[in-house]
Amino acid sequence: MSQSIVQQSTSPTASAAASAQAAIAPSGVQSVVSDPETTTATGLVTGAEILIRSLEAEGVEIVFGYPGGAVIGIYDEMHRIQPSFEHILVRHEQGGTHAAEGYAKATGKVGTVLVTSGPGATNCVTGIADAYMDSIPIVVFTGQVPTHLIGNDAFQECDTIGITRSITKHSFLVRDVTKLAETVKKAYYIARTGRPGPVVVDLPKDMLAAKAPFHYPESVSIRGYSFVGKGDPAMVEKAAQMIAESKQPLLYVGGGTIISEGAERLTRIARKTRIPVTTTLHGLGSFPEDDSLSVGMLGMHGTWCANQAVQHADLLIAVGARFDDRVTGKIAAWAPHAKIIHIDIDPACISKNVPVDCPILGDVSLVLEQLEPLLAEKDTTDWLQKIDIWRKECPLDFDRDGQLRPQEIVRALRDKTGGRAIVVTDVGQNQMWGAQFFSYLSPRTHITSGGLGTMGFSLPAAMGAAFGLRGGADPVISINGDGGVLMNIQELGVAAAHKLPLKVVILNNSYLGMVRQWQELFHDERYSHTDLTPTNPDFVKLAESFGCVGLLCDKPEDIQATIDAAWEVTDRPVVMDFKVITQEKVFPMVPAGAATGDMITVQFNSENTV
Amino acid sequence: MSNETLTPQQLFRKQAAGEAISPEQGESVHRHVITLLIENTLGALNRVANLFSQRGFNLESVSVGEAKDLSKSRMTIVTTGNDRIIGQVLKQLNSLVDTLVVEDVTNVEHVERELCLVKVRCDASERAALIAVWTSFARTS
Ligand SMILES: Cc1ncc(C[n+]2csc(CCOP(=O)(O)OP(=O)(O)O)c2C)c(N)n1
Ligand SMILES: [Mg+2]
Repeated sequence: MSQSIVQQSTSPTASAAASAQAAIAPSGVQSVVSDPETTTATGLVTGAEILIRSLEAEGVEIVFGYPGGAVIGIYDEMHRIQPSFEHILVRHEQGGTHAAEGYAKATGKVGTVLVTSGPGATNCVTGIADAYMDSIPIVVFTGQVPTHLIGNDAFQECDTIGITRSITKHSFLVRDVTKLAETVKKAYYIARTGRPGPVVVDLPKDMLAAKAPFHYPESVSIRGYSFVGKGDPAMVEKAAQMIAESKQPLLYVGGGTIISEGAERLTRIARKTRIPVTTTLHGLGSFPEDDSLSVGMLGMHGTWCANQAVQHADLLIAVGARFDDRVTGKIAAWAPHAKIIHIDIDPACISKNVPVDCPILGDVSLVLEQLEPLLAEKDTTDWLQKIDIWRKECPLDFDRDGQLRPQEIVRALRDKTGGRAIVVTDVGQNQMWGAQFFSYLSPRTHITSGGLGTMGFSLPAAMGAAFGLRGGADPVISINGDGGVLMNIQELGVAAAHKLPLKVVILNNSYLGMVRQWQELFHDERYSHTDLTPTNPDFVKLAESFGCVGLLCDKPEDIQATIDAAWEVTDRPVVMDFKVITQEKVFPMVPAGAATGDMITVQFNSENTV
Repeated sequence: MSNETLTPQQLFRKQAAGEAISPEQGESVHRHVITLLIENTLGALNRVANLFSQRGFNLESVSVGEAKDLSKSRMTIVTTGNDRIIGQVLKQLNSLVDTLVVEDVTNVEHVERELCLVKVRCDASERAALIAVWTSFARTS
């Protein structure tokens, strides 16, 4: 543990006084104000300035933050320095973390969050857990009470490092201001490399006031940390052999392919070898869904065709996927005939849920680069014919009986954009319809909370994506349920203030629809506490009160006009309240824990269970 | 599921995981001794301990001490599980940023010692017998 704590100018009384006042008025709180003149004279700057300079040196473009007593010194220095990055004042720290996630997912860069101690930090917990589950690189800077008060139940103290330990890739408590710049560098390095993930940097208030010289290291070495690059050539060769020998191979592609920028290569390989492709929820966009080799998404709400293909395949090539239980269902019955090749960067993911025949540990993109030249063209005609039968047996579809259905809205959005849009879905039925009916064509066009399944993710994540893609041609569409959209609705005001032309779609079924679906199917229609009718607001008025445009649509004939009107608006978010029918369910479906072969298609009665 | 209904692939996966192939056979759960070299910080120790509860691994015993190089600590862990689980334990430990070396020494020659403090009530007539029992267990005095 580090021993030397450099505190050039913070007397104990000064920092105690600062913390005592921390929660009061923002002005006049700083006990140690760094004076530009002494700064240059001594070559020493405050920890707060070191943090800001480090973020600049790291190339951070945008910080999603919310101030408070413990970090007021950083905000004060930001005011003075006017740093090269932009600070976006979110309206809830959870919104801030999801915005950073959306930014990271859309751009491939690391997202940054800055919040105060105690409640500021705890409000970030959901977003950090979400980023951990979905391998999203974000760095969260949290304020902390001064070092000498840690453990004293001081005002706005919480054990941030302890609380976030099991939901971070790594975390740092800064105890030495001379190591602050290096710590920032390490945090970004760890967040971004290997299997990406969230990193927390906890900043005691005295560390922000203490002074040290600023030097941002070019590189850092962390002796316990390493990650893999290329795969073992012998294993890659074995994989190529297995692929050559297979008769009914299937590529099972996950989000790791997109993270490692391997989608293009994957697409080339699939087309060359004529191997059909199924993707996970996070894999959507890694292979164009309008290609005849695409069988769509697999798993609980995947297509009949994809799940049948899994059950009949003699070889599964898992690429940056992790055999999640929403994909496999009952694991003992999953892919019963398939040998498995698994390409993944995380050793712990390999053979975690399903032991595999050919593990290849490595960066997906690099391994595909090794594999590509070893693969010959293949004749899979017979297999593709079988697949075509499954595709026709049970295509994704919906009734067109004059009632407003969510699937038709998602289809209309796809038609409006030709698939060129960034779609950020929330959690629930809307998430599945968003996944099933949009048809994703390229990487980073589909963003969702997959691992944690966080309601309230879509709106702030879409906002973060829109910040990251400002000036780009493709619209950012946020698809929500009427339940989840209220969980971070406050960020609508932020998006409006920054004139982001977000397209916010609410598939308003007046229910916690996905829970209602389970209650209908598995709990004898006992709709316990899922009816939102008594409490749902007037979403149009709500949107307008935040400075957005609100539009209402309650019949299929009006879908097109509503979307057209929304696309006319370019200087603020538009909220479209689609009053869809309550009864619509997501099909097909593999009930939780059931075997993938036992899918419910269309309606839940035994005649239709195939 | 009986053996007959398993495909060759399903059989392979069960065997690879060290799971029971048939109900009669039972799971092959083994006891493993793992030694670690970690950063000598509280955070590192916390992270290792936390991993076991986070991932639901068994933890039978832990001991920690400073290593020769004072910037590192030596940890010895005893855990149980089938092959798949032990594989996970090792991989997850390795993936921590603060772990420098992870080694499963179960099948490596190593010295294992347990310490037991026992208070025995006995009178003078039983003392010789007691000492005899004790010496037969004690390797060193
Ligand atoms: C924060 C959080 N709380 C609870 C849940 C459990 N949950 C999953 S889906 C769902 C219903 C979502 O309702 P709504 O937002 O209206 O979407 P719909 O399913 O109707 O499209 C709930 C409550 C969750 N995923 N996240
Ligand atoms: Mg709903």
